[in-house]
Amino acid sequence: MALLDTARCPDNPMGFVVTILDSLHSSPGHVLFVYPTRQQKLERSGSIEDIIDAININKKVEPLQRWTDETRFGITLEHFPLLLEPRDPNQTDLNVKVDATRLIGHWFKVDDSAPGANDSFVISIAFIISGNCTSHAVEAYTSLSQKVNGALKSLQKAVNFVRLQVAVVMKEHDRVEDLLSREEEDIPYIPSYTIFDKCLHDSEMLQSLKNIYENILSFGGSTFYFDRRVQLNISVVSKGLLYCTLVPKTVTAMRELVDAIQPFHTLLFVDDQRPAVEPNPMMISFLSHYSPERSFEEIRLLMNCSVNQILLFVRNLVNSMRAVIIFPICLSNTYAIGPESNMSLKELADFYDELFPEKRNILRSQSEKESSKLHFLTEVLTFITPTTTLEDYFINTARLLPRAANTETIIFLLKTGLIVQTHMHFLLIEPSPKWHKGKDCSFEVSKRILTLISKCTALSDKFKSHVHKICSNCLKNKVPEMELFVALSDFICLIPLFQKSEYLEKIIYDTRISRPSLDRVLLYFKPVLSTFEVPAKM
Amino acid sequence: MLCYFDNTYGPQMRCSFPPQFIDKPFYDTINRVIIVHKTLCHKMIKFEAKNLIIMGNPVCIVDTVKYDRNQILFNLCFAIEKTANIKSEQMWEPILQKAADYLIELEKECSFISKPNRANDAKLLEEMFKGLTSPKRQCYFQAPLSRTVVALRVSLPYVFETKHLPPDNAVPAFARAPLPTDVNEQDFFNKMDMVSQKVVWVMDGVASIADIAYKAHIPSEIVGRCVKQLIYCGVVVLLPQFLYSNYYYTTEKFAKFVESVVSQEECCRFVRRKKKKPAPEPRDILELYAGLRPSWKLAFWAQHYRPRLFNVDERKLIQFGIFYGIVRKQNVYPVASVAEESELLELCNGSNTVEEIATEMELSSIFLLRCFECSPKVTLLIR
Repeated sequence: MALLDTARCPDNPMGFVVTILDSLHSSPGHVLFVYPTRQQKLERSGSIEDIIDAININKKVEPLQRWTDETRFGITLEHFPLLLEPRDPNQTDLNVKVDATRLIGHWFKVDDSAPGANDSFVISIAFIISGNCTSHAVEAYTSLSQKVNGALKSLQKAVNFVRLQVAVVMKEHDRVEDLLSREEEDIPYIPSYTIFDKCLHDSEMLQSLKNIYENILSFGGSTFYFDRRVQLNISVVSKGLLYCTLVPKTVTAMRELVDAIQPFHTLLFVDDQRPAVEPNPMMISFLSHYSPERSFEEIRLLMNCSVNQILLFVRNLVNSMRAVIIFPICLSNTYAIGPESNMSLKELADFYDELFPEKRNILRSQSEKESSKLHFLTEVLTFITPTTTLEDYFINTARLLPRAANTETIIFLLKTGLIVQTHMHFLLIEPSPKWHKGKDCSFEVSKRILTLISKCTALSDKFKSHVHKICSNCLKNKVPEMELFVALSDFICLIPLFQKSEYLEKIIYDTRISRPSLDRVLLYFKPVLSTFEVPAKM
Repeated sequence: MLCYFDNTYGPQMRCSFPPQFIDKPFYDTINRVIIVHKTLCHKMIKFEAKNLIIMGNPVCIVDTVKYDRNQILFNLCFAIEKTANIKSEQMWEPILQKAADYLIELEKECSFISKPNRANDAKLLEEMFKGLTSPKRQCYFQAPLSRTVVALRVSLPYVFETKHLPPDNAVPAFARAPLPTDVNEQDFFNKMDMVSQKVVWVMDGVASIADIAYKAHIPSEIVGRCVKQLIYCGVVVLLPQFLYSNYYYTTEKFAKFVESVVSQEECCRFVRRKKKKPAPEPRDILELYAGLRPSWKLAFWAQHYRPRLFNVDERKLIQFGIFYGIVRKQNVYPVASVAEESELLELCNGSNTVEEIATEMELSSIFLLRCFECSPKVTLLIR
């Protein structure tokens, strides 16, 4: 297998290949380009036979006649078009596995240049990854090649880009073929990389594809421009800015996050600095009103745009891994210490110290400085133990750790996953047997309260009797009838949300109920409501 | 389907099972990847077409005497439904490889492919299809006038990979029922190695690897390797050791558990402490799980909620929660607040848990935790 003991992630691409096929199948397909242009070390162990061949130094290697006889990624160049040819006109994606190599890509048809010209062809672009990759990687590269395909199709339609680029590449191929077809016996063997290097030099399309590949390999994604016209925001896997643990790690997780975006969310930019000034007017307007304490709903009102517009804009930012979604930072949010991550606490402490250096410059030894950085961050985290509201955190740290008493520290802790926001969920539950002792409906409730309870369709008869008992008990404890009636009506309105065990913020957002009213409901109907606190999920 | 290269007509599909499963027009679009050039032969080739994954191991047998074109090309392919799970298609690869080897043997022995016999081909495919899709997942076929028996069996994909030996304080628990020690699982038990056969009797989901090593009189490293292998085969999972000084809290999956009545009833049955007393109610279980909070010791939780009053075994409750991802254990990371030259304080850098430091210093983790709690030089981070 190619990737054993190399410590190389199986989800990293190994290269990409571009093939072309005459749409009438009148001639066999042709490999236009393979990148990397030269055979890499890893490719040599594509199959067990290749490993045996590599070891067997006494075996006579047959001299190669044509560059198409060369083997790349365990497959001869001659047979790549066969594997990448379209099999179903309705299915443009390609997913072929040959031993330990997987080819994932898309094909599209470039139509005739003029009616009756008969020069249409099919171009396939496939990324080569390990056969042992995860299903997330397959999905990610399928999505990537779909985007690349879409960009090329639009360019082809607009300015005949693909046909012109293929013509440039084919010129070099034809030149080599012409050379090889001569009858002279002393024509040297021309390796494929000679041809591919020249093609890469001449073709903008291949250069763009090469840049995409290099960026995916190094950073997991980026923004690209095809022919300086079409912008592509691509993210395959989150690699950049490793300290930002909130960025989804797979395409599936990214898609789930994008689908879950709501107007009551907000975002955090992954970069430490805000994006530089861009010509995008939407971005300029967004940045002028953005704050991590404001939800999208608030921002869009200030920007004077619709909900759909701002959500579309935000989805693009999230898809290109420039931002992550959070709940707006407000004083009533509760936070707890987050789980372990890949980055060590020491690295995060150093990073925090770099971002927010200590103002007092006391002369200390190196080890004391290191220890103090780590200790400071630990001290900050102890203020979040076990769970604390942001208000309490600011009050406590203002007194004892003023350096950490700011929103920037909270943003840093959130981004690095050192803290997570928690949500309090409410669940409708039968009262415990202990509660029933000494409770009855002896105290008469008013007619309107009785009517409210009996007319409620969301509750079973058994639950209605519990609610009746609760109301009777409240009145027995001198709760004003008017107050109880209002609380009961609010409770009945909230029952569907309690049955779904929704969290506090969602309940307030969906029903627009005020906090004091909700607190009253939670207080009076505590026996039938159970609460649990879990990390917030988008 | 069984495909071959006909000297007159080119790539042909000899037969398929179920019959007519793959029609001719569809086959014509894919035949170039099924019957391939000899340089692509003897490689596992998989491709997608029409919501199916077609996979095969094309074979090329070269014989200048026997065959008109000096070689014969054929391919036995499986068509499986396209799923998101790559591992579920990987389990068919060894089967196809073996089937290809069998066909090579059959061809050499009795020209099974080159002298076609539709009845035999259809029988072979039918036996394979029915056998491999049956609950036993195995098939046998013997061609007439042949000594070769085609015997194939599907084994589950190995999905659980661990790089390092599990720590001594980890608790292995069985991940499947019935247990290997069950009376009806003698076949499975007999196939295990000697160490596993000794160790599985001691595994009760409570004893840690160190405890199992002590009870079975086997060095803990060997038990660790055995457990690692059992994890690889999907028989066992690792759980953290249950201690009242641990910290647990509910995860986001608890919201799904709240909606699932079936899971709640299963939990009630599992955590029941005494059979003579009535089983706990789902509301009791929900109340108990809801009571778990971050950075709150389990001992305090047990004192506050008194799970035994509901006839709930708190160890099983936590075990159930961790197994299904409803509950997560927090680890304690000591961080030294002073820069002292001490082996113990050097380990307190926020990257090592108390258990890891205790293993390194050969001390009890409970004792070490108590020392850290009392020490002003160390801050404890619970995450």
